[in-house]
Amino acid sequence: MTPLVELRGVRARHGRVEVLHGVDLAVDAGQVLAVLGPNGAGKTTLLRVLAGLHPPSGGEVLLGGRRANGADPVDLARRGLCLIPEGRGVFPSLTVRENLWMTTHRPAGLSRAEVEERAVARFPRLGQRLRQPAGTMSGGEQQMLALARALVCEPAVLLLDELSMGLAPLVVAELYASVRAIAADDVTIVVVEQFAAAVLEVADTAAVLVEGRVAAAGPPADIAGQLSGAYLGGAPPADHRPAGTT
Amino acid sequence: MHEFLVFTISGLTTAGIYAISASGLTLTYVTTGVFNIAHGATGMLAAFTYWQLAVAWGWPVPLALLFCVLVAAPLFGLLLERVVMRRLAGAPESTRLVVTVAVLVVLVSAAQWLWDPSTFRRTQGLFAGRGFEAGGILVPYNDVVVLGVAAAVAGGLWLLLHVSRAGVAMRARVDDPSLAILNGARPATSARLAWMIGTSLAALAGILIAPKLTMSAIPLTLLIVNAYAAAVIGRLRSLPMTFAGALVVGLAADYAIGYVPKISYGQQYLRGVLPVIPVLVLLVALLVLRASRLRGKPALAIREITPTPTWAGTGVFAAAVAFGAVIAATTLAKADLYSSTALWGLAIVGLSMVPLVGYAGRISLCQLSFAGIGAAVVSHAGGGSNPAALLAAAAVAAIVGAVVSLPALRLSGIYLALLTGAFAVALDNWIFQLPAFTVLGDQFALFTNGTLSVERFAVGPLDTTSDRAFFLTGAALFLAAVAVVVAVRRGELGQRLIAVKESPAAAATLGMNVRLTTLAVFTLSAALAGLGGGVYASAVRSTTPDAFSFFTGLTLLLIVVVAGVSSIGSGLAAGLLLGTAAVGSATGDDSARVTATVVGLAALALAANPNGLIPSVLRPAYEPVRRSPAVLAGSVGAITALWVLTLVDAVAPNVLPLGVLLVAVAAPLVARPLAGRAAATAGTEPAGRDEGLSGPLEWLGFDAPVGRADLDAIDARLALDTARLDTGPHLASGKTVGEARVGAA
Repeated sequence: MTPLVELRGVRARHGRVEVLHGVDLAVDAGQVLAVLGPNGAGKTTLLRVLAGLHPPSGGEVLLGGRRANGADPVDLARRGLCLIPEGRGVFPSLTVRENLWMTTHRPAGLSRAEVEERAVARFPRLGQRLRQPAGTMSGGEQQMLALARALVCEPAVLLLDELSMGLAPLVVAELYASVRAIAADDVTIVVVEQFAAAVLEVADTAAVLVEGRVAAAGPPADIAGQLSGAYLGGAPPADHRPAGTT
Repeated sequence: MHEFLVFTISGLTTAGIYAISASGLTLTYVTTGVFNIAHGATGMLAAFTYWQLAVAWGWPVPLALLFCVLVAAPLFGLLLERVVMRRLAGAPESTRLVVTVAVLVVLVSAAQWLWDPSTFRRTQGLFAGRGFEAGGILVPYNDVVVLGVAAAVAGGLWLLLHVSRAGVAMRARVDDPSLAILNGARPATSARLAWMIGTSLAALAGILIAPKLTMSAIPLTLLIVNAYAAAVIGRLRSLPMTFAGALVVGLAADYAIGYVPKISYGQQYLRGVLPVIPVLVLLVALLVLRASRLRGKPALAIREITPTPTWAGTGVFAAAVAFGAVIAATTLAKADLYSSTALWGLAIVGLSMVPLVGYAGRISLCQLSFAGIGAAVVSHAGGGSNPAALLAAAAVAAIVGAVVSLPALRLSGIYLALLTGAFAVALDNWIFQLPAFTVLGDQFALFTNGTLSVERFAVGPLDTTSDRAFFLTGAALFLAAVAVVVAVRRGELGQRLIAVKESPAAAATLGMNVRLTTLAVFTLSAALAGLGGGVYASAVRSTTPDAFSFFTGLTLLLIVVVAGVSSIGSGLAAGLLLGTAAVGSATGDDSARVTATVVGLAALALAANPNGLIPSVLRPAYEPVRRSPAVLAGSVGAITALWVLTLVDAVAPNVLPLGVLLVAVAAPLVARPLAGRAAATAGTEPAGRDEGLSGPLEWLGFDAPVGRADLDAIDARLALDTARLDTGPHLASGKTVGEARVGAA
């Protein structure tokens, strides 16, 4: 079976500095891939390359077996590839309702009422806040809104960047419970995280990105053991301490 | 009562027009983040186009109107977006503002070029002034249609922005363009749509308001600028509040026209207030609205650099200026020398923008107004060649500047620009035109009968009455001002200014008094501008308020920004372009217009390079000359030789300017290969290396570990070895931060 999302030898640079030096990764349809790694490893760049926001300087990006290098991000978005960027993926000055409406261009032809209905069904808390500007909500609620907006249009591929950033552990657990529920609906997910403990529970496969290269890839249980080494640049220590706690 | 109703109807109509204009302005601001100062000028251009079609070429009125509003204006909006506004994405707010100021200057100059200002033109209201009777009052159909159109615009825009997906996407684009892309919206389409609609609304407002005046580019532009007051009341966000603001401005303006002439006392002082009523409303709105509502958007990225000038470099600059001034003073023909004396005053006014706009990042549109105040002070205090008059001019301007800056302390970005612009317009159109008045028994007349006459000062043996003496004294005063600005930049205040510009929040959390710093720079800059105004007025001996008009001030600001607002040379550029005979004689009578147009066009390029020409073009070109003693000596020698030959009449007078030009072009061409060869033999690159570092700062640690020497050099550059924090228990030992850091490592 062809992987739904595949990177072959992908390179990317920021100006003169190359940040991805030939990354190979593949995710089958309906699987969850967790990409872990320390700051500056190139995780966010990887997602931006996938979403078409950053042109790769080498290698191939394949979506559904078709080469997607240099594809227009708007086209990718309309074909069901959805990135929730780092930070809060919401428009702060639009109301919650208007944030949800931003998805209504899709060929699926959802009405606004349907969009709101689905979002509220998944995150009831948003139902009370439809008229509120998104920027006035708490961080966790904003991430919920971002997830909700990504979900109502039934994406084929969901790219999540640092969902946990700046949030309380309880909220992070709640968000990842939603991610698990989404994964159960056969959405292919690539999730980038520094907070390894939460994401490894959800992932089908995990990869560790260090200095722009895949340092390790495999089942989450195996990866968990190698993490400290990857983060600290030395041999894996005896105790399998989750990286999120360092 | 009858009269009241008549003024109410006409006030409502004015309000409707302002509402149309202000909502267009708000729309483009909300959706593109660009506050288009040129919005009024766009409307003015549309009004002229409409006049051309409907009056000069006799098109039917509906056809001309529809063509202007629905065809020409949207196309012009597209052009604006394509050529100018698109490149402003991510530019600092000050750059965005200055670029739209440049658009304004270009449009006004273009209109003056296309439609000769000395010809009388007038357009008629719709339906040729016909109307219907209601309750004994003639209600013009024109007014009814204007109100209807305003209401339709209001409803249409609300639906667009809040109900249609295109409109929601337009607003989403401002929040986060790349997130909008990820949601399948095309930001370029949103921006194009916003500029097309915004320009159409500006055009509609311009055409509707034109019958209130005879057609003249600057007054018509300023009339539409009145709508900005409405937009500010709407906090550049809320369309309903914008419409409420338009009602306030429109009614206030028309009631004032109706009732102010009936006030029996002080009529001669109040007459001038009528045209500036909306500006006063704008001032009040800026003062009354809560500060948090008026905070501009922070810049997405800092692309400007404000290098610290060295004393050595300043010395070279001063020597070059002094040398040039002596040559000019001894060789220029009498008439040319007289018309060039204005150079230094304008150069000082231009220089006054460097600390404020360049270092502190605060756009002020009223520097030339401070200069006007300085000129008035010198005129009144300078009788009997009193040399203290210039100091008095600086002091009075400083006080006015401090007072103006008090409300400005909490404002930044566009709101500050609007406040200073409103102040400039009020001064320009009202205060400077005031007849004589009496305060505490002393009689004052700012501009007596519209003109100021000024005596040049004398100190002991130094008598500046002759043009030559005054020219040299002006150069000395300019260099003194340069020294002040360089000292400020190199001193603590300069560092504070940069800190406040780049991150006001960080500056405040470091314990800096942001307000005091801002107040200081405003005061300093106003004092310099006042001094410049005094020097300018002394140079020309007799001047009018026109010399200090809002529009001239904009041109001056543009020249300084194009030249490089953080460079001290930019003031000189302003003086050379606006105050010398050279530009005037090269371009004939149209010189002011030519200068404005060229500078405006050059400023449009700022979006690509916000640093200006001096740091990005001139300085790199002449750096090799400065480093090559042979070329430097040769250039100076050649010019000196030509000068001496001119003095003894061995060569024709115009050989010298040509020779200077030739040397200026040739020196960098000769010096560059020389510098390259020297670098090749020494094995080092001539530039791109920071003092004391083993390589360029951004590449440190890439090829080799960062060494001790590099760390020390960085510490020295950051002044870490001298900065002494005097609070906090862990620093009680008196260790410097540098030591503390090394100790910790």
